[in-house]
Amino acid sequence: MIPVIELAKFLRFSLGDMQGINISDEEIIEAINQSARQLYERFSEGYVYAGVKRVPQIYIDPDGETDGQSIPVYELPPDFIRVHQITGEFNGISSVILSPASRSPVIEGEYRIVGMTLYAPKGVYSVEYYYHPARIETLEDDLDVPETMRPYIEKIALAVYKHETEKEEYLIERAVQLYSMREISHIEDIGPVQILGGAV
Amino acid sequence: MTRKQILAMVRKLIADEQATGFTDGGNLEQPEGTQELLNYLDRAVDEYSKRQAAAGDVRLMKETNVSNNSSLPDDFLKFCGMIPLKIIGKKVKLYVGSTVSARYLARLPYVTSYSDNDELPYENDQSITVAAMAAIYALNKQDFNVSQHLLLLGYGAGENATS
Repeated sequence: MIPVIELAKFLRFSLGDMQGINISDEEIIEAINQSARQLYERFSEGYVYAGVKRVPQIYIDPDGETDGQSIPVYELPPDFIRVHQITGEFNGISSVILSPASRSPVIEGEYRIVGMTLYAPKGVYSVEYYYHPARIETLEDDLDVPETMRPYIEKIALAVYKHETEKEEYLIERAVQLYSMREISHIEDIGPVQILGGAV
Repeated sequence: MTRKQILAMVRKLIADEQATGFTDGGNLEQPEGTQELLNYLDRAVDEYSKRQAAAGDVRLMKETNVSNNSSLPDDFLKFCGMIPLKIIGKKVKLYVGSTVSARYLARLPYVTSYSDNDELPYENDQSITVAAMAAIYALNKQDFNVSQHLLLLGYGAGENATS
């Protein structure tokens, strides 16, 4: 979480308008929102783990009664961009990665997303997905990105404000490269290799 | 400074302390004498505010919550930066939501909205400049050459001035 007021201070300083006479708060907020949105869109395209959120322990039971714990289908959260991976527990083996299925009904070990709804057979799952940070509305809000992203959010927001599209692209590209290199965990994971028929 | 005092200052500047050129009295239907001077003061307030707003004088800054379909404040000159709304005539149309917080540059209040003994809400430098501009308008009415006065105020040259 980064306090928006601190980002605003950086932008106002860089733009030479600490007083706020030429640039409104709304412009600053829009630039920050756009920068976060675009950076995280690209994280999702580039499989960068920094843009992944995890929802642990979802109890899905399509045929069961709604008992407050289990749900027939899972409605994806509003900040959802795309699935990173969905894991479930089968036959005593935990963290089995599910495969996407294009037909209905789904069988064990598969999931299906239609619109913003996730279908899966009865089981306990955890969903990891690429998200976009919630839009900020005021300077008192906090931006839902980790502190380590601050330098990039700041500089991208500045480029957004100045309509410097090429610079914006360059900064986003650099952030994607840097954050994909920082991650060691993806080596173990088959991730996009699944497209080529990688085994589960 | 009260309204009486700023009027006295204008009269001094145009050498009319005895109120012979601009006599006492007058009203909005018959804007002569003192009323004419008050009208010049209002005009000076208007012009001074616009010039200061263009120069980015932060003392004119105000903050307000603008609601959808409301009218702009009477003293509105311009917003500080872009606000997500459209102004159609004097009405405001917001893009989203029902209110938005905005800073704007405001005109100083008109002298005529106060009575004689009211304290005017101006800083000292504002009063002096407004009075000097009102005096220029009054002198100009009487066909005096005011180009030197304008130069002294830093407001550029009149057409008779030598550069």
